Amino acid sequence: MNVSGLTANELARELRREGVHLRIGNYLVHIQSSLPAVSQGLHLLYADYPIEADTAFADFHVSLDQPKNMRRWLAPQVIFRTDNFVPFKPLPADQAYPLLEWGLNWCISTQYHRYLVIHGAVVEKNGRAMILPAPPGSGKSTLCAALVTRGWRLLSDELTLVSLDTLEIVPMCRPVSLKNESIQIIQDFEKTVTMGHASYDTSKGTVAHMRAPTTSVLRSQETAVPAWVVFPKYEPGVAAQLDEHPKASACMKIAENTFNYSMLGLRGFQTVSDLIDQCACYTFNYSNLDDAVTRFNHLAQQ
Amino acid sequence: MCREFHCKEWTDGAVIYDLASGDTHHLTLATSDILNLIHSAPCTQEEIASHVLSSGPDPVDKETLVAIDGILTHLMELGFIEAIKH
Repeated sequence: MNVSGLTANELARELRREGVHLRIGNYLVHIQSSLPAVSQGLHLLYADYPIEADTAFADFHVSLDQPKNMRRWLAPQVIFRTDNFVPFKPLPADQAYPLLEWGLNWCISTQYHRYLVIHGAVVEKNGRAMILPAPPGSGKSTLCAALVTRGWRLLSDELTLVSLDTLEIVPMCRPVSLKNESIQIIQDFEKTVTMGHASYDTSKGTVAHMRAPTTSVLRSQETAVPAWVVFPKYEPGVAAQLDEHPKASACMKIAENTFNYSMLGLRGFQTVSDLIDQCACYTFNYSNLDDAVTRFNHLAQQ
Repeated sequence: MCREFHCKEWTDGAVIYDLASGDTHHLTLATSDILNLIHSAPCTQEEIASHVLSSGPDPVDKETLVAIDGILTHLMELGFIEAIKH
């Protein structure tokens, strides 16, 4: 059964009682929460994801609840736990849903060491994957959101999982995190997107999540072959420009943007250098999303 | 003497993984070439110069020797090589 098979009230009740085992690609997460923001967010943004019943196993057990302190009467907060460990300080209750997404990212980036975990978006077309590693503010999530509303498959907007054995990209398709102006830009770019509730005054500004395309969710078990590494940079007013990027420099940038590079040691180095060997590497400056999509569609046809 | 490393070269440069420290470094091809030479066997600065001479059309001049000296200093700073006395 998918999340959409439950009403909002039924999902809220399940989350409050036993919790829900949600299948996201090839991992299973057990989520428990009594907070309406969490159940409403999941009901809206994870409608296409399977719920697995009759299982005690989960890759990650997470919960979000209000801390039981005096503050809950004045300024309610939310606390994220995974296996009873609290990795972050409590946040204002309005940030409950983004905290769930950030918490899941934390679980994967700190514990999923059977993959190289690159901080970057990744999309696919015709079986070939494009990795978009970039620091916050470079416009990678906006570009990723634009591409997936125009036929590219979403593999991840935040964490690129590379198989250490085959170099294939393993999907981790989840809602796309958008910040500040990007939220309206994407809503204007594609009127049909489903956008979750916006949380204001987070450490990243205003944050809202865009629902992943159903076709991408349904193909969450399909890996893709990495073909391109593109370092995007949003610059107001510039024409879309795709330039080759030196491979040695690309290798260093990927290593710097990989969460578990040091942890994996020599295996990490070999995987990153093999990945760069296999991919064409580019720098991409852009300001207009239509131009960006056209440029990448052209690249995918070559 | 030379520390253990893994090297990956492309036409635009090389990346070296230091097995002892776990650090990764971006080097020029000339630097990685010299590092590989020293790794194969300890050698003198003159032998390195001869190697550079044999791999290019230009004669070894004072400028080349200064450049090699700079590369050796850089590799020593990174901890890959160590000067030994005969």
